[in-house]
Amino acid sequence: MSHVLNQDQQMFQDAVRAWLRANYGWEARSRAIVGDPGFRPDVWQAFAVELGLCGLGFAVEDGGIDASGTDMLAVIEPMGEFAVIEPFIDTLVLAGRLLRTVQGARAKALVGRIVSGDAIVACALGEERTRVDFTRVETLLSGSGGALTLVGRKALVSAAPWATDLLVSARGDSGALALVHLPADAPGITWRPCRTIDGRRAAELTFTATPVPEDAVLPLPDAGGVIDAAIDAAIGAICCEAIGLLSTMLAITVAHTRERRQFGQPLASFQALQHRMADMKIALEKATAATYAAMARLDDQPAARAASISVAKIATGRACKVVGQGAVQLHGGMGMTAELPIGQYFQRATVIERLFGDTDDHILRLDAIDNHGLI
Amino acid sequence: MNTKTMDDRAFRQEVRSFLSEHLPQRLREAPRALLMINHEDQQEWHAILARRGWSVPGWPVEHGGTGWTPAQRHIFDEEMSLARAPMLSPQLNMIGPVLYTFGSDEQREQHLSPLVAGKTLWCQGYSEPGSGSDLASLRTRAVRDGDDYIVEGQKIWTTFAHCADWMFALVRTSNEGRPQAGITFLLIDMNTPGISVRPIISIDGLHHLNEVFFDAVRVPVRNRIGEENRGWDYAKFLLKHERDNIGEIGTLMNHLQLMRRIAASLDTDDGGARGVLWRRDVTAVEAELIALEAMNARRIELAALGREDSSAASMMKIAATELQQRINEITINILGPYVQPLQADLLGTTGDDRLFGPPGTPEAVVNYFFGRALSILGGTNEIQRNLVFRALEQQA
Repeated sequence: MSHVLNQDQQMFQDAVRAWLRANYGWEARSRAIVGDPGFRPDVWQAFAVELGLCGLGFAVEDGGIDASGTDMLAVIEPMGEFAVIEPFIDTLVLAGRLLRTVQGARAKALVGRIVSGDAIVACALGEERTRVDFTRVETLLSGSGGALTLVGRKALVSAAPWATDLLVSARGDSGALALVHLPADAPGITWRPCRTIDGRRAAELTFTATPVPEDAVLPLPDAGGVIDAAIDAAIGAICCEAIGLLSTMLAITVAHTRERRQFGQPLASFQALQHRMADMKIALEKATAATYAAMARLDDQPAARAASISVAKIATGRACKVVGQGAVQLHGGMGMTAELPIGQYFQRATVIERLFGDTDDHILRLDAIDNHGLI
Repeated sequence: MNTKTMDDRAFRQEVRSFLSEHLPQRLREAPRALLMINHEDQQEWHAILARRGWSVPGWPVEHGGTGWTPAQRHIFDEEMSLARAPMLSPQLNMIGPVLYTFGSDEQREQHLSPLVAGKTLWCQGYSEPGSGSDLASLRTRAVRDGDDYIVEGQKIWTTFAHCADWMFALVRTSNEGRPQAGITFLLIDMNTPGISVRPIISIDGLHHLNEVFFDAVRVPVRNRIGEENRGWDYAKFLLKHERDNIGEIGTLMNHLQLMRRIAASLDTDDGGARGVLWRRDVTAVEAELIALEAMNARRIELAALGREDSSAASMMKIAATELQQRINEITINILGPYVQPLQADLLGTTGDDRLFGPPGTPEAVVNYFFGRALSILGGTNEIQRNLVFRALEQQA
């Protein structure tokens, strides 16, 4: 197991980073966030066509690049560095992993549209009570044959307002979990969209006897296992995003303290502040290493995978806090404004710490896994 | 002791019945997060308190204070918090003491009664783009021209500048000697020509901070507090009050109450294990808050005996702001994914059906994000730690 990128992965990452540096400027990002639709469709097209990123989660025979966990890390880390808001985690990682093993014409057609950049998929999995266990689903899929309906509510579905397609988890009459594919404009869904504090969009979706065509129920023998695996991949992916995001925050903070002078000397000359930045660096290194380790194990058997993902989320959650809060403090008043990058990075770090389970949720999840650790 | 306890009980009852009679339900339900309250609601409540003579309890009686004992003031704060009464403007207890301690008769006459009555709103013009922790390096200039000063420069992070009637500001009137020695304290009418205010959206997504630009703004010399070039002394006096104010136990109690309400309302997927951790977290901060309250009470008693630690205000500022930040952080941990919705978009909407997450979510999220400022404003906590050590060193 490696804790660094190999040469190919490094080249891939450098290419993504160079593209973002050239094409993902702060001004354009800021304009996109406040306008409609709230993201840059041109960027998404470029991800698919120029960079070939939209095949990230899929097998080669489906037009994908069959990426390993570490390949994903190579791509996603720069997305964090540049605070990319486009839904790469929702569509490429989460939906990608949900769809990767599904057979059938409907699923294959959707995969094809994701790879070509024509589909943006939002995954409606979490519900009101969901913290970290996405298999406790109360949304119901009832009926049979040609008369299936969905009833239930999905809380704050990320990127839903941008989506062309939805993947919805539900429990069938037999009690078994199922995954339903619906076009985003399907009838019978009540939408409550909102902007989010980290510059994205989300929506609460209520299904009131939403009609479900028979072939929309994706043929998955173990939907619960597939959902668990996909959620773990998504958690790993936001950790990858976070280590990129936090490394930029730390770099901006160090530069700021070298530049900004108070009491006739640079802030960086005060030992108390140096020590705080040293602690930020240590938290980030730990999160980075734990994330590399977890992404290398993404295809291990479920318990080992889940344990290493929880460890990464715990280390990354702490880094989000230590680096995020430290960066704001060391920027003083400037850290409080949403107009500068540092404030917006902090908003995203604060959200990441609490997405897909916060630090305590993952401590409890880890505790529940037998043989989860060293001793 | 017993008669005192009886008196306190009667006093508590008096406060409680006043609140139940005069605090409108609408104001109890208004979002009460730090600075999230609409200032018109805030001033409306201020005026109600003022009619009862309770808007500035801690001030000397001749300027509108109540003459209450420390125990009574504590009871009052506690009951205000339990009743979910809106907070009053934090500037009230900063400029007020400066006015009644250092203001001219004319200034007191002009400003104190509207301030006590809740008719004027003030903002604080201290920080500048290059002067934060090192406040004495400020560069906004005031040059004497007959009976006026002409003010040129810029202030930043000015809370509520966009709705304030007056600003109290530090300006540079001399470059001679130490930087502290050339600063003057001015009262500036925000309607004076040449003042422009630019909003700054803060990381909570809301607008309460501003930049204020002064372009040849004429301020009458009679609006100067005390002497020219002595402004630093008045500012230090005021900063001490600001530190006292930031450490208001009532605010911490409000935040703790909010945390309890949210923890009680959320049902999660973990079969109760998470609930155990939340109870531990909530109780741990509650214990710290009780200790902080004791620390504050002891400080007040020592001060009455003339034995207050010279860095007591700094210690309280650090302890109170960091505890408040901790409460805010645990509260949004409990909210989990509901930290996401941009609360600014929900302002002006009413009713729980507009909420994402449990009731109290908007306040909790705004409290966390804006609460990061607590360890920055009023002298950063790093500066406060320097002051604590300096005092410790002198005592050694």
